[in-house]
Amino acid sequence: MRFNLKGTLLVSIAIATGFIVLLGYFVPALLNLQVAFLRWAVTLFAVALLVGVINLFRTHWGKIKNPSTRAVYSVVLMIFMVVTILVAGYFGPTSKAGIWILKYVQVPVEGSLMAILSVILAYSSIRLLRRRIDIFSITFLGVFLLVLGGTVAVPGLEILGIRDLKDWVSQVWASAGARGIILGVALGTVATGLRVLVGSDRPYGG
Amino acid sequence: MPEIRCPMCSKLNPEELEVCQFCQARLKPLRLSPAQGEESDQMSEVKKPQLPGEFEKQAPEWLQSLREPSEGSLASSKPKEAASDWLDGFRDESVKNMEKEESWPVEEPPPAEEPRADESHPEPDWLSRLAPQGPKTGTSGITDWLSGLDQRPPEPGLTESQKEISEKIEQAELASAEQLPKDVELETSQTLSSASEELPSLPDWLTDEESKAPDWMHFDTSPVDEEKQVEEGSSEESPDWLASFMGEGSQAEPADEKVLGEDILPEEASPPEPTPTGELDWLKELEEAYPGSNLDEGTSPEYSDRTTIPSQGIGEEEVRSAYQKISPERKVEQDREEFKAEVPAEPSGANEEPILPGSLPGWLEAMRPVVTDVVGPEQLDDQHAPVEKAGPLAGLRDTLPAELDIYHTKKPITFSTKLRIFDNQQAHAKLLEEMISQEGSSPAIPSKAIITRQHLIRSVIFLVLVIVAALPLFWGYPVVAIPVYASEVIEAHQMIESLPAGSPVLVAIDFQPGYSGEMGALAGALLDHLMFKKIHLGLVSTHPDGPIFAEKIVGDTIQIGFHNFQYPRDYVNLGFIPGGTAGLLNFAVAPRQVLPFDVNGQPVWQAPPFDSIQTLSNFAMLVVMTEDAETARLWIEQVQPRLLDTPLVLALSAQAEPIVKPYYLSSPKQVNGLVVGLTSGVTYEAYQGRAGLATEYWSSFTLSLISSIVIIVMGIGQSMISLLLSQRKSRAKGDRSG
Repeated sequence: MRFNLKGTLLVSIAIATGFIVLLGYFVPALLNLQVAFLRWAVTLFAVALLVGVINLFRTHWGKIKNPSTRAVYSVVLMIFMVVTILVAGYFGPTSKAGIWILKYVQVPVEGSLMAILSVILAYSSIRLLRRRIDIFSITFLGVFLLVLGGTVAVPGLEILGIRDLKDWVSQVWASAGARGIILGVALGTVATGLRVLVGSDRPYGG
Repeated sequence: MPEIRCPMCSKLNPEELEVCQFCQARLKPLRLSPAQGEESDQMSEVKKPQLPGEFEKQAPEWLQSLREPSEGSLASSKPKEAASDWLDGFRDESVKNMEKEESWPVEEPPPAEEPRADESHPEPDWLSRLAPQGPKTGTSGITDWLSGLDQRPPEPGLTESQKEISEKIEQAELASAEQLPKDVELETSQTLSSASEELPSLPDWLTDEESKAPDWMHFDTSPVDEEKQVEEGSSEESPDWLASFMGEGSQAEPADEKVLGEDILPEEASPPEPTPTGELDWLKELEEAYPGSNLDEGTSPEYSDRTTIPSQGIGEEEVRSAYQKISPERKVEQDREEFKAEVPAEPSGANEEPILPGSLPGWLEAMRPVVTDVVGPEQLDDQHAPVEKAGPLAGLRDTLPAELDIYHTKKPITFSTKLRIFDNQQAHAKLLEEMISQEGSSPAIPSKAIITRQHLIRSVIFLVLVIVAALPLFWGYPVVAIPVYASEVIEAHQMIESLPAGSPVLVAIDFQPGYSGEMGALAGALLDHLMFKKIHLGLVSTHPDGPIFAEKIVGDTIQIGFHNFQYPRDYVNLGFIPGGTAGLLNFAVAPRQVLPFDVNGQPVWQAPPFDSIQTLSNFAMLVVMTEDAETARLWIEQVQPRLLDTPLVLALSAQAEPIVKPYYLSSPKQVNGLVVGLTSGVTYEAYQGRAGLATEYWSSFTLSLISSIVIIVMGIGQSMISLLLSQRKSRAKGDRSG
């Protein structure tokens, strides 16, 4: 039987680190070690973020160099990335120039996408019953209109009981569903953590 | 007791036995008489199969009788049979023909001079007439019938008998061509002689001159030069065995060869005597007897020459000389061809029966060689063999090839390379070709209309929303009333209001710039209140662009609220918290270690009021502003347990409320204050008494919301109506068609 040293080492490190961090919640003596591991993780996350930026740069640079592909958007991205890095690096990320880029470039772009989304959602709601008429689509549209109508708090325009109905739907039905989702997510997180701790799941490769 | 070992099973048997008692194999080989041995040698020379012994039993009597005088032992060993029926039948037939014609006087055949057959098998009369009368008569069988011919009266116009004769001559020729044994040959010749003897009239071919008949039929009375005969024979390519009949002076005669017809001419050792020259007396007698037969005119010219029948005095010498002139095979063929050409056509209108194909007698059929294993006569014939074209044997037939087979190679058969294609295959190929040619070319995409119905609807929605939103912003009309305060809003307001001035509050700005329309207004309301209270703010974010966006939000709030907030005196920007969940937990445990510097790289934890901050619980309040429910959950789950008594206030987007509300409604509360959406923001500002972005956006927001509801309702209504109409139409069509 072949002995995989690399895999065994990785598994050992992962399991040991996980158990120390977990036990740090319960054992005060391991708190400092837990903090140290967490700091190392934070540092690795920061480095991974930087590596991601570098990889993005290389990918789009490769597209620009390849004549067969249309790389107009890659060029724009590269330009703004370089300019932003230079401005933020030179003037500071919270300088007026940096804020100017954020205020007049990033915010309008992302805001426009959200605005288009509103129009698309309205149009999709109109065509929903044309595409499919069933209980689910009718229910969806009804709840949608209820929430919208309950949100509108115009004196004189309020329909009697619609706001209460909206609150009841939001706090009972929606909250119940949300809680169920959160519980499921929590259980999944615990299960995944346990799988990593016992070594059955090895996302780090081993 | 002497014993013999069986050649087959190698077992011992008594000597007297002829057949093995174990395996029934013959112990003593059959031994032929000398005559039989010669005959068998002849048979082997000409590569003929051994004639079956049964044929001898089937041979007619006359044939057997021909054999008896020369081969006493052979004749005795052969079974005696009755007189051949076909011979009697021939005699009867000829008699009948004679009676029919009426001009054919019936003539009794002359009695035989020499009795040859045994008493049990009397010799036919016609055969007896064929008996040789001269001292030199040796082959009485052949000469008798020839001599007997002149005794018959001539009778005209008997073509039927002529046909019979021709048939019998053919039979004789066939027998000679197949090299019948000598006794059969003798019998055949006797048959022919008897047949010719019975003719009522001599046909023309019998009376014609010598020039029309083959040489062997010519019996010259003049002395024949043997050498000349030999030359003639050699020039005519007579085989050596025939040359032996030409006498001792013949040069082409090997001593060991056997000659066909030897039994017929037993006196082979004696040199052949010259044939008599001059006209044949018997022919003259025939002419005298049958004056109307036009014997001289030669109606069958060639054959008359050939069948120059000698007189009764002609014996075996004449016959021998006749045989000497040509080889039997060639003569037979020649005769056959000549006869076929000379046989006169039937006179028209004659009441004659058609010539029926001759049926060979059984004994003759038995003599027919087997074709399977033995080369037939036509194959043995040199005329069919290929002529050698190379080497010293060029020009000869039936020789071993001088060249290898490789030189005789033929050009190989060339097959047509043209593909045979049927019509349906051609059609299929054409279809396939069209499909392949169309493969590279993409089908033309139908041009789409620039403005479609979707574009129109979307454009309408956009215009409506833009107009509705722009009216309050630019004209300040209509103004929508502020809604009733929510309890959560009041509670959050009260918590912030209770903070002492200058207390440090950690504000986490974790929403995307895209949600700045809603969250910016909400965050502005809270920040304005905090700034109004002179709270020392510490800004953090778990998003990379959070610090910058936080800086922008604070600047806008300062600008709108006309607050005198300065950096780092009144607020600090701690920056980005990396690591996601782990980083947040780490920050919650040790904020100084996670973020020791601000975004500008300046230490913040040494100056007041942050110098007293060791953990997050040292902050007066934690305010988290996010649009994402997950981010809110992270802060709640990771940080809130470390806050201890520090309240947690969340400013959320309306979309995250359902997920975060349970935390607010739980007991103990994990979220102390909850401000959700623009509605809570405008309410908060109204409660605060300070109008901000939320108040500015509220009318546009409300009107846009109402217009969206109206548009959606109208669209649903229109969809339902069109659907119902289409269904009604389809039903109507179905009813009409049905």
